[in-house]
Amino acid sequence: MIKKILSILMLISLLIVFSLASFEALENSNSFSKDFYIENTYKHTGSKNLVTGIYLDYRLFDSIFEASILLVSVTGIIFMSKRDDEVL
Amino acid sequence: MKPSHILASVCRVLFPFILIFGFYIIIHGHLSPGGGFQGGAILATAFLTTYFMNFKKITDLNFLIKIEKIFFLIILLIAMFSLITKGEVFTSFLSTNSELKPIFLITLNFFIGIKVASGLISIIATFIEEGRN
Amino acid sequence: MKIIYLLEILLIIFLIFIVISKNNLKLIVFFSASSLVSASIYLFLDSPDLALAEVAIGSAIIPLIFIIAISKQRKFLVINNTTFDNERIEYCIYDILKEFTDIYNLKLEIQDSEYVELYGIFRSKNVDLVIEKKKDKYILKGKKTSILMNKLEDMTRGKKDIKVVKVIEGETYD
Repeated sequence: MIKKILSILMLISLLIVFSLASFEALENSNSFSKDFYIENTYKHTGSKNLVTGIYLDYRLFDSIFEASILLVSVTGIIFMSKRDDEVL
Repeated sequence: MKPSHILASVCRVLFPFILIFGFYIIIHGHLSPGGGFQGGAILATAFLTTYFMNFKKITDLNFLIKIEKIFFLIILLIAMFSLITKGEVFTSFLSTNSELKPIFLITLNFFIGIKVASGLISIIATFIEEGRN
Repeated sequence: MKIIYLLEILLIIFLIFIVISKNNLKLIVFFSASSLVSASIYLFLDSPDLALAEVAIGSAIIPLIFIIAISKQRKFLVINNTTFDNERIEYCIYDILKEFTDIYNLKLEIQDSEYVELYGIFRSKNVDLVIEKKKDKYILKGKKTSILMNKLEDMTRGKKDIKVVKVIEGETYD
């Protein structure tokens, strides 16, 4: 019973915090970086799709490690699926 | 489990069209929504339909892993190539004023797409092989 | 403006169905449908890149992996570690195990005693249950993370000579 009441209180507090944070973000929004990318992405990178321009030119450092995450997870899955006598 | 004939023949008809759509998403990544990761996932679903076609062996696992490793190294090399031309790492190696700037995006999208597709296909193939015995 | 509200209500209905449904295959179909609905919500909120990835991964690849993982669980492997042979054990435990595996549509398989590892990555066989005998009491050892063990514990609550022990998952160092 106490666990249920605690979980309901936790959910209500999460709801209040998220709604307050979203109202705060709507009021204090700053459109500097948005205007910068909309103006300059085609000039700098030559891509009409803004998302590709950002993740392959401005943030290439991030997307390379994102590609390495998939490599590591594939090797982990293949290592776990082998039996004992096949690995050792 | 024995797959039905209707499902197998429908998958056999759909397979080349899904392949063409995936390559279109990859190559047109700089003009329309999409890119390497999305196109690679669509290519992986195209190979997923071969599971219903009652193929004996879906793919060679060592070959896929080798492709993924080599392509990851190629992506790293292309990203590091701007150290020679511009003097800074992890940007485009073409100069800002040239007209050929989309070539960099197309090559990186292509390599990332093939890498993601081979990774997802190898995950599916491992699960299928594990389920057989 | 109005279609997106309808889609959100549909998404909440699908998610409630996922939580309360007992059948595994129905659950996977609901999961695939909910990810399709969420992909169309992304499309209406002007992010088509995310919608493409969600359609390909959430509604095609992950349900196939779940289906393969469920269809793998068809056998219930039991290791008989007592001094009796397989015919003797039938009278006491076999009926309970048979009734238990009929509920989940599994195939019961009892093997003779040998040394097996119950947990860890490097085990040679995928063992579900080990039967041991100690002072007129049969001890059933199973993994703690398996959901099936809770049902087995419920079924053997009335019996005096059967005890269910749950082993905590972990690695062995030797």
